[in-house]
Amino acid sequence: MDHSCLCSARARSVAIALGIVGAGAFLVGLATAPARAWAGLLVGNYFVLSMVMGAALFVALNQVFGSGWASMLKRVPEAMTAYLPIGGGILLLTFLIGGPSLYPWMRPEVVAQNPHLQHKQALLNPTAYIIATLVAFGLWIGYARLMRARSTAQDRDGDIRHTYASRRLSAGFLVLSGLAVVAVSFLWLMSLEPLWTSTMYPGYVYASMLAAAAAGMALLVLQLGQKGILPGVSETHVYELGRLVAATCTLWVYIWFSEYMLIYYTNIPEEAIHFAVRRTGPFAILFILNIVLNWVGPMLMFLTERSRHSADMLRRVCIMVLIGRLLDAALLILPAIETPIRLTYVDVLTPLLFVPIFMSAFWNAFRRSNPVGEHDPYLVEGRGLAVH
Amino acid sequence: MSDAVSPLREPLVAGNKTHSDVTVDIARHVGVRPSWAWWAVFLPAVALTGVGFLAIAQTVTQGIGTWGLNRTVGWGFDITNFVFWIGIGHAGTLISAVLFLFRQRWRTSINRAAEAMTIFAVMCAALFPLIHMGRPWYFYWILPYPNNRGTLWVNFRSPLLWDFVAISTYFTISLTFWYIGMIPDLATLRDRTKSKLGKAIFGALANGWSGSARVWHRYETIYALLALLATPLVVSVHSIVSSDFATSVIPGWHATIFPPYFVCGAIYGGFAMVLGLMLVTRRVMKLEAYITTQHLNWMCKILLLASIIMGGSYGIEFLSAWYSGNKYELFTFMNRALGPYGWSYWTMLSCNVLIPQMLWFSKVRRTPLLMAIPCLSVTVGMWFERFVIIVTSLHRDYLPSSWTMYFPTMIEIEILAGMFGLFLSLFLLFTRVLPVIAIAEIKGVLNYARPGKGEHADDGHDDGTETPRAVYTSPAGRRCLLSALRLKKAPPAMQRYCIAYYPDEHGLLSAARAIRNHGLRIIDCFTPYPVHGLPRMMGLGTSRLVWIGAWAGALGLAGGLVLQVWTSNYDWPVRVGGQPFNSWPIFLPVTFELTVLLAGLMGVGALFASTGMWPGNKPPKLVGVTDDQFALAVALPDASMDETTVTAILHRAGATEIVGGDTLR
Repeated sequence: MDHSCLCSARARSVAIALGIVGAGAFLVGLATAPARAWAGLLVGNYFVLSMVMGAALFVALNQVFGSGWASMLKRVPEAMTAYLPIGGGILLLTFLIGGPSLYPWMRPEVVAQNPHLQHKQALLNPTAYIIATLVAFGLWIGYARLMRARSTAQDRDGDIRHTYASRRLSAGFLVLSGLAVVAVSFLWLMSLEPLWTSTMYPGYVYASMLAAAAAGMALLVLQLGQKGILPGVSETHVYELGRLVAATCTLWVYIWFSEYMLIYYTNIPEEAIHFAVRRTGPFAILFILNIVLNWVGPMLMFLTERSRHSADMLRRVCIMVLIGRLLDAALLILPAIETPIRLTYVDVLTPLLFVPIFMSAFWNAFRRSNPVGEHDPYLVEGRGLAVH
Repeated sequence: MSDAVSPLREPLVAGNKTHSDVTVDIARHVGVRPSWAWWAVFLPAVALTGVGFLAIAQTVTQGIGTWGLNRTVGWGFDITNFVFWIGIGHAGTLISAVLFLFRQRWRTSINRAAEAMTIFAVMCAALFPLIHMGRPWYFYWILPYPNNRGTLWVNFRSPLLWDFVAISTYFTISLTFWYIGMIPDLATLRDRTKSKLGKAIFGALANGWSGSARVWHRYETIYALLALLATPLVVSVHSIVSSDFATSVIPGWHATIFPPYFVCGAIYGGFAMVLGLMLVTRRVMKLEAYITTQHLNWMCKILLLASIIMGGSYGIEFLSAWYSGNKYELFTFMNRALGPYGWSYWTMLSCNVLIPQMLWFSKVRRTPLLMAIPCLSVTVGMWFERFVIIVTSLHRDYLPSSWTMYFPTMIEIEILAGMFGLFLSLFLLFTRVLPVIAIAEIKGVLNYARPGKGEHADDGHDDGTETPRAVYTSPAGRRCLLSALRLKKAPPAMQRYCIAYYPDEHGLLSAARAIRNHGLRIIDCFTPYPVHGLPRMMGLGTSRLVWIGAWAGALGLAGGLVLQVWTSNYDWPVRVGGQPFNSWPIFLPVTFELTVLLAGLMGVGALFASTGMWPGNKPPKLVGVTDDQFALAVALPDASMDETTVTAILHRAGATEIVGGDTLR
């Protein structure tokens, strides 16, 4: 295990170089346009967080619904959650230092002038933000640790009771995580535009997490399978992962369309402003590109039967979806600091900082245990997948 | 899917049922004289339906004034009932299509009845907008067709029109899906029934189904296509129903969460109804072996999940009402909970969120009597949810001088009761004339997770003590085979043939493998359910039928967009709600429905055309392949091998009977 590696030495140095570029862009941004630098950091961090928080949701969903096909791959989403403490730390740091430049409700002079913000202060205040963030991360990290402990303990003793316990744990986590997503989606993201509100927002964030996690997980599985680290990744796994990516992207586009259509239709000024600042200006094309990368593109690429069985195609789709997810995060966050939306090198480059951070967190966690949970009672199904 | 299953899986069919038992257990209820208990429920249900239709007659003749609606509350029981029934109608397609895509095999025991329920519920639902029109005889004005009322087109921006398109599409596709799924079972009934009338009816409906593996192969492709289409369709229908409310600017109605929240609510109410009906059906019709406590357990878990999502959505709505800082929004929600209709809000909350939490206990999820409580409470609660959303948002609007209350009249209550009567009557009739469980699908999952099954795929019966019994057919028998194969004249390659019968799929598969290994050609196989791996062994590639559906869908998409853009932009440009003439997001719902409608219908048409399955086709007479026999038709080579060698191969795989023929010319 120690000799193998997630990617080649060259790829690793490329990743580190990307991280350095990202860090450089952040630091330069901090000096020239601090709000942009913090926003770029939030975009990158939220993108990775949505992926790893979604990975925990997949662990829970697979447990609760007894999905046999994914049993062989379970160590991948488990290891992805290793980024959670790092992401939580960076998020709190972003809030504590960059908060006033990102969140209008953190600026007393703005709040003093706006009765709406004063009304919302019961929720939009630093204490609530920090408590909600700590509770959410406590929940996610606690769940991930407990699941990981059960999973590795089963490797040692093969006790079926670990599976039952994980199932109960997962059911509880799914309920609590739903509540937590409501809270953090309001505080982390929706309050960037504190005067705007949409009841769909938590659902949108939830769907984004699932889509990001599916694409990230599939990409990692393909990579590990190709390197031979995760043996037995078959064409059927590729097919099933592709279905998952397609399904989660479709869920996301459904939520996106429902929200957009209803706001477009009723055209209430204080609601429509949210989309108006995103689909106007020199970067209006991003609004369309978001739908293309996150749904239209993947659907077209999966059109033929052969493409749905092809690992290469799945890899391309996953990369497209992950870029799409990053763009979606940027579209959610960047208009908070400048409208209409505009991209600069700071926003584009800063998220690169997270490439090596996530990769090393993932790999350090993944290599610490068996690549496959040997005594998982569903493994016989996940491993014996015939070509369907 | 491979045969290997986790030791944690439980069998989907309890008891050691054989394929033949499955046929008998389910088909024996069809067409027999009903019991007194059935009449005791059916007659009151019909009477209730009668009462409902009398009330409808009064509404139509005297007008909507017979209802309790007023200027402030323009929607009351009518739309509440409409949304309620449409919601009930969502569980069927969810079970058939969504669970099919998720490969949840336990759906096989409940999908048939749930789909029937869907169709009856949609029928009940569709009646309400119709009678609410005031002049229902002009209902066809809602169809977009060139007319002599000027260039007067329907308003494609109106969610009420979307409703019409969505519900028509949903009804059509659900009915098609139901019928397609039922064809193999209709053939089983056709081959089983003794009565002439039954033979004629089932024979006509079964489209000459022969159980041919070639047909099964295409059939499965189209079934999967329908499932793929029906899944977004079921989501779209209730999303569109929700936009009846959410596209308005009425506090309490305009919320972006409405589409998924309504879909979840629909699944919730529908599942409660399915579970409730199944609890009674399995008991009365003695189907406990097929609808096991494990099935009930799974359905309960879905109910529980939905109840949590519903609770969360109620919470988000309240939170947002406060967070938005919009006084009107907050007032509407406070009025819901604490105003004059507060009792209905708390009924909804306790029935939908509190009581179903008892499903957390595994004891409740495995005891039918206990789980009947959440079933009933959810049915009541989901009705009240729609009442709360509709009436409490309307009765105190922006202008306090127009605040008022809404009380239903006796007529409205009679219509409400009448629709329950209609629904129940139709369901009871269904249990008497059609198989309530998908026979063929159950046979396909019979051995799932059953101990001691699924391992002897390759152990040909090599004892060699029995000698093959070859029965050479008469010319009539030859004609039967030709008709089963849908051939007028035999192609040269199959001048000589024989048919071997096997008692299970393992025998058939090992025979097919042996035949292939000997370089012989399999003409076709005939099985009671689609046997996995058989198409590949017969060398059948991926069916391209799905592309016909895809192109038809593309046509529907283009047609829908062109129709709406042309009428709204050029032929009849009318400014609606300040929107641009060409507003594509608003045209997408109708476009989507037309896409699905065309893709589904053309896909099924292509299946019928390519397999020669047409209503009223003559049934082929291969004995027992719609019950428990697995037949294999082999082409005999000319001289290289004589019949005894071939029959020996077939026999070694466990053939119970071999029927041979010399020339088909």
